[in-house]
Amino acid sequence: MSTQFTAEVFQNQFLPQGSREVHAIMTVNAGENTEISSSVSGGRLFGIICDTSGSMGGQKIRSAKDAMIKAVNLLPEDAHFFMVTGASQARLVVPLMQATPENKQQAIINIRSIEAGGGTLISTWLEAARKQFQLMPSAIRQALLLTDGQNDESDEKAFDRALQACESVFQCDCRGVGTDWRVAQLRRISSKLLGTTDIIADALMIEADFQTILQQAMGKNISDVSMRLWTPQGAKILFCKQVSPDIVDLTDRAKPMKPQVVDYPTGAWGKRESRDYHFCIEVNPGNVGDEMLAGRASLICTIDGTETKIAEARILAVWTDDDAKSTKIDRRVAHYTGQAELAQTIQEGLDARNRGNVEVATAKLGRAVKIAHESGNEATAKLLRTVVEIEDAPTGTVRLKKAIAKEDEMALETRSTKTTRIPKS
Amino acid sequence: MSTYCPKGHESSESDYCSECGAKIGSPSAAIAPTIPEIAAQLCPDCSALHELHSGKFCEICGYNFVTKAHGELPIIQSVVPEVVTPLETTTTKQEPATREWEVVVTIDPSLRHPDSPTPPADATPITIRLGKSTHLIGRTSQVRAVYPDIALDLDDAVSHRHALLDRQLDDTLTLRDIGSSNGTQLNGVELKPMVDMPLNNGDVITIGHWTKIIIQTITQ
Repeated sequence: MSTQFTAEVFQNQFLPQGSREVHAIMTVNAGENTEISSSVSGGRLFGIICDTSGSMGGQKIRSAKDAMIKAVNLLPEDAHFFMVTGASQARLVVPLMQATPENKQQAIINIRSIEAGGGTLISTWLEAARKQFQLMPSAIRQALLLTDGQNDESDEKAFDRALQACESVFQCDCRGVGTDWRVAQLRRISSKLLGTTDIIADALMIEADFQTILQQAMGKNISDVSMRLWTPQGAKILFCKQVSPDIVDLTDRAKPMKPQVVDYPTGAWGKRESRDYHFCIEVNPGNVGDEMLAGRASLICTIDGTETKIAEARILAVWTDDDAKSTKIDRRVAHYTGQAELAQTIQEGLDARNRGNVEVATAKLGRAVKIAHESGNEATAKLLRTVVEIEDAPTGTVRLKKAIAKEDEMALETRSTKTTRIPKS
Repeated sequence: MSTYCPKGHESSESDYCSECGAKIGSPSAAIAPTIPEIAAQLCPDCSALHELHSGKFCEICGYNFVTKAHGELPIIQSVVPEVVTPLETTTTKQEPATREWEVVVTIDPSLRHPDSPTPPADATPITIRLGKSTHLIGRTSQVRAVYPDIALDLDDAVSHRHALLDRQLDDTLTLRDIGSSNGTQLNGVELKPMVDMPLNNGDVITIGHWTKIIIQTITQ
């Protein structure tokens, strides 16, 4: 069965003699028509997990309920959905059902009855959602988790276990309302469950955000795609990251399939979706003139129970004594190395600022301004302007702002992993 | 049909070895020594690898591939007939090797010049089997990225790129001084640089302060 995935590798394959580290950027494009009939025949299942702890009371819960009702109305009729609300315990407000007009009516009545109250034990919410998703294992399974607070400390262990169990059962985008939630906590969920984390500073914005997420989820038409990476004997994968549209470190997510072959989860893909991956592989050094394959990266999905390779690209290593060749760094590799540094520098800068270390914070955020400026990452540059006064962007000369809105800082923290693509030259 | 890579692994892929990643060329390349398959040829003067798109001069000795003129170094006509053959053709019809060569690297304190440093006392002879078509004798340089096959790092009178041992198509072995600073002696006779000298079992090469290399054949 042919699909329209294409994969392309960008790298400088030339290495000086004795060198072992191979870097490559792989761009994967899903074509116009990625639909694989059997995959979509498994259906689409969309789950909403909504925080109803006491802190959600008032405007937040009202907005969330409105947003959920709108989302239900927008569901295509052939899709399935369910809804879990969570406080100290999870409640299955709407059990898994098809989005027929009658079922939607019933669901909306149930949503209206939701009231806020209780603590925040996210592990129970994830468990309840997992049980629903397991009812339709071949569907495209996406969830949206909305919360406004941090998980109870007593839930730490159960939370880890629940998250572990949910891996590859469903994908989950996380949204934090207001500023009382923890970025790191939601990011742990979204990165394990291959989703995104973002802030909804104002409860009135929940509705618009829900619609975007729903639209994206309904646009996916092939799920459970893996990135399979073969490496030669004696090679070591130093890292594997998704670098566009945002940075997701997949290195620790490697699942060994057989010797020399590991799989990384990439989740569901929609049509015309495009992502970039950065591989860094350490190989046994060759002699000048040797050419070897340092990696064979392919996208794998399961169609009718058989594993199918839907795209493949090769990562090469050629040793040369021509310094002019081996010292060049591929533009894309350089670009994404910079974007990764940008995200890390922002994180370190904000941490330093929170510890009250003004000098380090100024240096780090100044460096971030400089990288954002150089790489044309306008979105991140704009977010940086909310926390620092920029005197000169090209040199990274900045002053920390005295007062920063909490939501601006959190927006910068959550969105700092968004990358730009290299401008077409 | 199974495919074999140049290193002898059975490969499930036909382009690059599924075990070690080595490039798989023509089917018979499996038994040929691992010579690079990129668009390249060997410089007929100094045997350095020359990539076809990297200009008309050899980067090591300055040999001009277009006019076939020699470089700046004083070069005496090679013993090897001057054949500039693309590698693809040299590797296609090669018989499996019947004669193997090895070298024994030793330190001979009697070769020491009065001004030389004292040789290390406890160095044991090292035997290196010549598995490739070309072996570089020299001294490792991280800076210049020179990693010789026969690395004589203890003897600092050895040039980084000192001499080459070339295995010819008929399995004979030749020695060429590639413009070393302190010269190369074969059986006590100083060699002219850039000239191939055929080697025989038991020949002795002396270079540097006190390094002695004994050539041996392995009969199979």
